[in-house]
Amino acid sequence: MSMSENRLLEVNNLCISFKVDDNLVPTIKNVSLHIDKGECVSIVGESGSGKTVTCRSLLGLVPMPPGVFTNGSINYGGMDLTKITDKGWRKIRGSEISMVFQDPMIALNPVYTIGKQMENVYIYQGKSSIHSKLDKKTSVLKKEAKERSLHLLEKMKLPDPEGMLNRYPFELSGGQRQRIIIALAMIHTPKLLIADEPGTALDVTVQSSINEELKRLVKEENISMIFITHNLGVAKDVSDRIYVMKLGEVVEEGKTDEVLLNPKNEYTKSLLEALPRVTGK
Amino acid sequence: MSENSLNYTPDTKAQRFKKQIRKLFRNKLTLLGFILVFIVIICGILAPIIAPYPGSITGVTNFGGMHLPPSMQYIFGTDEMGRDIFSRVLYGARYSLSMGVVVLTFSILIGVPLGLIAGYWGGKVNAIIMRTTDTFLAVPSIIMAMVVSAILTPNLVNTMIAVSFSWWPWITRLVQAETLKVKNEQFITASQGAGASKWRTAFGEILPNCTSIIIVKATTDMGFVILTGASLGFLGLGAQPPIPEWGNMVAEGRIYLPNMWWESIFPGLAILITVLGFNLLGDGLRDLLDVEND
Repeated sequence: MSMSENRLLEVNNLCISFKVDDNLVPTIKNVSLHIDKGECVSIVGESGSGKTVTCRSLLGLVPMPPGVFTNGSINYGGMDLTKITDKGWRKIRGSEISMVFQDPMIALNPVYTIGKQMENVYIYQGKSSIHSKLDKKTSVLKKEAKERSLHLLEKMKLPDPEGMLNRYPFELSGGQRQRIIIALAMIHTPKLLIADEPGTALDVTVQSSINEELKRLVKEENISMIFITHNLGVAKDVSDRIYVMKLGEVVEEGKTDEVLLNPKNEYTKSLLEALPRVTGK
Repeated sequence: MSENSLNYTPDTKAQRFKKQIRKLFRNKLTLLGFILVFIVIICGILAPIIAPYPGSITGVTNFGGMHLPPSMQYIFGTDEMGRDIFSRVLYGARYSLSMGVVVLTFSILIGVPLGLIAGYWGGKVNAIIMRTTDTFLAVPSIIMAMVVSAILTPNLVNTMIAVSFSWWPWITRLVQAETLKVKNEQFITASQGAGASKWRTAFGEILPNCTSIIIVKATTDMGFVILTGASLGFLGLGAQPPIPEWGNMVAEGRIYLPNMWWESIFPGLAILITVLGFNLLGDGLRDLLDVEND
């Protein structure tokens, strides 16, 4: 266990079931995975393989009920996240672990400007109520929020960041929104970023440039990342290690190159064969 | 980056507002509604200045000029006590409008938070709140209001209480339905994922998404609240004479129909214009805000 100091998060034998009528339907079966500081890990698998549920459970975003933890633990910073309260979650969400959602078109609140949304997350993350005391004057916090937002928007290569802050989500393209969502997730410099298929809803060129910037930003800010995707090509570009999931189980894991070049599991092989090729036969 | 994205400057808030207003009034009916509402509001505010016989709103009698038909001197004629109906109708706007505003303010203050809480928390909380509103809705609002104002002494304030009492469940229902729709949107999950508390999510993220529907509902309801208030007045359960409330003016003039038609018709027309105005305006707003949501 010499690795343990370096360990950021460890999922042991996690089982999640969903209650349907009176039956428990096991959805996640004995999933174990871990991530070290500064590491990038991919989870790949087809739709419905449990990637998203696994990752949402790391943020307590699986609705309980109908979801139930039937076994296992999620260890993070000496806590078991399967047993944490709402209040505990608020401390972790956004500041320690944060998430980039799948579809950029619907992950921003349509009634607020980009600047306002970033400011809200910056100022109110983890605050228990609308009226809880802030550590500094609101005006000071607003200024800080703006600086931080501008910094991140520039890093995400968005044109005219200053003007961007005054726009509403509907005025932006999908690619721009996804960049903003990534910036939003980074605003408190979390220790772990969960990227749930970012860019799946976008076209390939935009997707690859966004992944590029995401990878760079994560390295620069020294953030660990769990990258969920069904695209093995993307997984190869982004991650150090890879977990292959199927029907709620991890069927193969290992260094990205090893898994992709020398797959042991039948399912991984079939995933690799499913990749479209331009050259070759 | 491309030139396009750099040259595009978003509208300022004022410009955005102007555009929306222009869009709203492109529909002639909406414009008509706005004009009617505007006239009624102006009449209400300027009543003491415009009214030719401000004394007519009190119980004074002028038996020399009873039941006079409309003329240059009394444009809407006079009533059974010789009071100028035109002055009374003008003052009536004040009571009707304040009725609408007060009732809707109360209904929104009670109804919106309850609807949000019911929709967002769900489960038992939802069941308790929604079954309570169902119980209220099972009784027609005019009957409910009649019961309440019959229990309390009939006067203007109690009418407002009575109507608010029967009005909030509608708002609760509307907001609950809207909350159910919005709460499954991904940006709500995203805000929780960013560490927002339940209250912040409900009031900071969901509520702003319900504002347009609340505004439309309030505008359209304004007419109906005024109508309900006038109905109660007509039945003698609202504002009491000599207060120049439209409903009770219609009731007072009713016994002299059809010969002295002006005594009921003019206050009746005032009710019609007000209700129509708010309805047309509400319809226009609904069209405008629906388009915006797409």
